[in-house]
Amino acid sequence: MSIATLKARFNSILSSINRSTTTNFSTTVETAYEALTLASVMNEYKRVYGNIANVIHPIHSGFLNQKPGKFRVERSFRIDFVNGETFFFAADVEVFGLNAFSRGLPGGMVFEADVVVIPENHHLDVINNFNGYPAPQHLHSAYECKFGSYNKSQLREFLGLKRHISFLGNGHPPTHTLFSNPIVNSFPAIALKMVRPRTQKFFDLSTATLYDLEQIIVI
Amino acid sequence: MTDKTAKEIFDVLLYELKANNFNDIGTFLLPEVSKEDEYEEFSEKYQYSSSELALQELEILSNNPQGANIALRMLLRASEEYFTLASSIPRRFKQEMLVLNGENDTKIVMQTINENEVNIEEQLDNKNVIEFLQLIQLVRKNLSENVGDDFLNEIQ
Repeated sequence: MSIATLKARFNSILSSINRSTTTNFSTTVETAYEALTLASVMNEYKRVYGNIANVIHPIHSGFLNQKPGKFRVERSFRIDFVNGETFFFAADVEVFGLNAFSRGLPGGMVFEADVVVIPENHHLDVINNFNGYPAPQHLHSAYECKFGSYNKSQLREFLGLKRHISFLGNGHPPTHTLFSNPIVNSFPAIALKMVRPRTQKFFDLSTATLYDLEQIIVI
Repeated sequence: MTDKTAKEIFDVLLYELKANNFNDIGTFLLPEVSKEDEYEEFSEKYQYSSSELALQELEILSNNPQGANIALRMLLRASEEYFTLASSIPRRFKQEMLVLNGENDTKIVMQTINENEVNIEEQLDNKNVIEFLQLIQLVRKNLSENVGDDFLNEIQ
């Protein structure tokens, strides 16, 4: 066998890998990684909020969306905890920013969050009064998932999402800390985490602390 | 494996990975970062890093004397890590769901732009990925041996 044959063999296999996916393999991996993150986040909530009374799976099987959009109950997981807390866990949801938070009305731009967690007592407000797009006042936590590529623009974008949904200031800190870092400088006090399969260089400690930014590893 | 053969294999593998949109493998070339060192504090030694740049730098390394063997070894390792982790996502998802509520029959399904439903698990956990992993593992096995073209004859 020659190198040319080996090259053809690599090409054949790699192109077959891509052909077996809807878009291409790398994109499909990113989408699947959101599902894994969703499951990991639900388990983190279980760790923090204790025993689960009930888990309701999405009525609609497709809980991931190629096109981000509205929060929909039928495409989200719902967990009722024994302590009385209930949350919805959803993927690929676009969220309003501080404009909607300040006015208490839908308005301004929406940006995608890969995974969002919405307390049950807010979800009807999202659906009935905000056209299905959560605003900061509706969010308990949110996650940006990055399995594949790494570049600094992702960090800039992540900080942008943080500034989109929270003012810098003293919010009412949550009673529970998700993952490692507590929320101390965000109003509303939304936990926003960047999710990767391996640790990469993140913000400097001062910036991460100032904006309550945290990188978590899910794999 | 001779440096000449390693360089030839490196070039074809890198070319095909890029041509087939697998540039994300560059992420797994980046140096391991411990959790304790994740915060990027500026220093005189600061250098910009990214997945794309990692691939470029690896290619430069492959052009150096004795660099081809190292570069190929790194590319093979990164490729193996990427595809192994990627194809294990559906299994890990089921494990997490089992921990959550004792059920693991939820499938990873995506609604597409044209509102079709796609089972992503089947797409990730497929025989082509296994075949690719077997091929690069075969190359890795022969990497330290001076086999030249004889090694290539093993590949059908």
